[in-house]
Amino acid sequence: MYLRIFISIILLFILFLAGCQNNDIPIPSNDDYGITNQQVLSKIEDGVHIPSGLKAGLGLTEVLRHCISCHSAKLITQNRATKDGWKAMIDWMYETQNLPHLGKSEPIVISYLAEHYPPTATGRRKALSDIEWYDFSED
Amino acid sequence: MFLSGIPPGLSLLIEQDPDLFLDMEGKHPDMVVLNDRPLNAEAPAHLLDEAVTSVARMFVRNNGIPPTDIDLDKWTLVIEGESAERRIELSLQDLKTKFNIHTLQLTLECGGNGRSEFDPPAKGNQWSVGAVACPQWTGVRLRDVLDSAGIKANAQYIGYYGRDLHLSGDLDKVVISRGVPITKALEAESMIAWSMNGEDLTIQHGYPLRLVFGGWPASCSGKWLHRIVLRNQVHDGPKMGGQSYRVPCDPVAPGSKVAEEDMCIIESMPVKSLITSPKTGAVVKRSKFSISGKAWAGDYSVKKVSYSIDFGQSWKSCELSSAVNRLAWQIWKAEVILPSKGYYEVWAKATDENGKSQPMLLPGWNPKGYLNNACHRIAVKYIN
Repeated sequence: MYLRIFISIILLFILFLAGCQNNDIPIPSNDDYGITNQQVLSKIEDGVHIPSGLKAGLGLTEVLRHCISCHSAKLITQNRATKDGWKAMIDWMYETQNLPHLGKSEPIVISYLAEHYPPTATGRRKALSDIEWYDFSED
Repeated sequence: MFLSGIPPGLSLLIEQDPDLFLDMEGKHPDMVVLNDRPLNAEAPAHLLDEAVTSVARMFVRNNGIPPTDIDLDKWTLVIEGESAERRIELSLQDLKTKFNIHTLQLTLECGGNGRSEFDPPAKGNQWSVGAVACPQWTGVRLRDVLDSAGIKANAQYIGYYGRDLHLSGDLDKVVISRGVPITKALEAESMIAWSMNGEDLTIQHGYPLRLVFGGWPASCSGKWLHRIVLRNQVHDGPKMGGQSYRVPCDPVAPGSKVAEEDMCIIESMPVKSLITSPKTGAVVKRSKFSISGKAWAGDYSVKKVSYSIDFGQSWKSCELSSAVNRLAWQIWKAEVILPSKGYYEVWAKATDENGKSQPMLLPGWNPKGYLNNACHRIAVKYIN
C-alpha cells in the first residue's frame, strides 16, 4: 500500500516534469487528469473560478487543464483577442513553448477564450479611468 | 514519452499556494503583479519618484523560473563562440579581482512597456507605464571581459545564456537568449553587474550576475548570466527571432499581419517621460503646485521636457537636469498654475537630442505591442 503511494508520487512528479513537453499521444479522458467539471464547479463564486480568477463558462475546465499547468491564469485574464488571435497564441506555444497539442479540446478552449476575453476597441488613446482622488497638499 | 497533455498532478497545481511562484519579497506593496508564473510586476508611476530606483520599486520581467540552487563558489561565466579567439571561464572572484570595477546608473525599460494601450490589443504582459527603472549598477565593463577572450574581427553580435528554468519544466530548454550588436556590447556603459544600489543583486533581478545595457529593451540585459557567446552573425537564441522584440521594418496599419522577414529587431528605445509626482488623482486646494518626473531616450539624451494642462493646446517648459552619466534617466520638474477650479490633466512630453518627441496619441501599432512612448498624463482636480 505504502509502496503504491510512493510509486504514485514519484510517477506524478515525473509526469509533472514531462507533462508540458510531449505532443504525440492522444489526450486522455477527463478522469485521467484528476480534475473534473465537478471540482471546477465547486469553486465558482459570482461567475468566477476563485483559485484561477478565470470567468465561469463552457470550456473553463479545458482551459484549466491545458493552459495553467505551465503559466499563470493571469496571462489569460490580462490578454484580449479574437478567435484568430487566441489561436495564434496557442500555435506559438505549440511551436516554441513545448505545449502538447490540445486535440479535440482546442476549439473548446479557443471558443471559451474568445467569448470571455474578447478585444474591445479603445482607439488611439483611452480616457483616464478609475481615478482614485486624494487630497494633495504641499507643505 | 508515455503520456501527453497535462500532468495528473494538475489539480494539485491549481490548488496550490501561489506564493510558490510569487516571490515578491522585498518589493513595495503597491507594485502591480501582472503575472505570477512567471513573475511579472510593474511600478505605478508615482513609485518611480526616487532619483535612483530602489530594488523594491524596480519592475520584474521573468520569462521562466529563477534558479534556486545557486552556489557562488561554483558559479562561472564562460565566454566563447565562433568569434571568440579562445574560450575562457571566469569565477565571480575572477570578475571582481581581474577587471576594473565600475558603478553606473543605467535605465532599463521593458520593450513592451505601455503595451496595454494598443488597439487592437497585443499579446503578452499588459504593462501600463511602470516597466522602467534606473538603479545604480556595479560590475565590470563587458568589453574588458570580452577582450580577455579575444574578439575576432568578424564578431557581429553577442548572445547571453542564463540559468533560469523553462516554464514547461524542460531542463534543457533555453528560456530566453538575446543579445546586442558588438558595437553596443563594446560601449563603455555596457556592463556585467553583480550589484544593484550597493547590494548584491536579488534573485528576481538576476543574482548573482547579469548584463546591463542601458537604453535598450531590458530583455537584452540577461539575468542569472553564466555564458556569453561572441557571434559572427546576428544571435539566434530564443526570443531573438520571430515576432519577439521586433517591430515591422516599415509601418503597418493597426491589426495587420506581418511576415517574420518583415520584422526588425528593436535597438535603442524611444524618447519617453513619466510624471512621478504627484500621483494621479491629486485634489489640490491651491492653484499652484509642483510636478516632477523622469525622462529618458534610449541611447540619446533628453534635451527638453514640456507639460500641458490643456490637452496640448499650449506647452510650458520644465526644468531638466542632465543625466548623472550616459544612459541614465534625467529628472525634470515644473511649477503648474491652474487658471480656475475644475478637472485637469497634466501631460508631459519629452524631446530627445535628435528632435524626436513623444506623441500624445499612441505611436505606430505593431503586432507585439512594443515601443509605446505616448505622453504620460495624470488627473488633477482643483477645488477651492
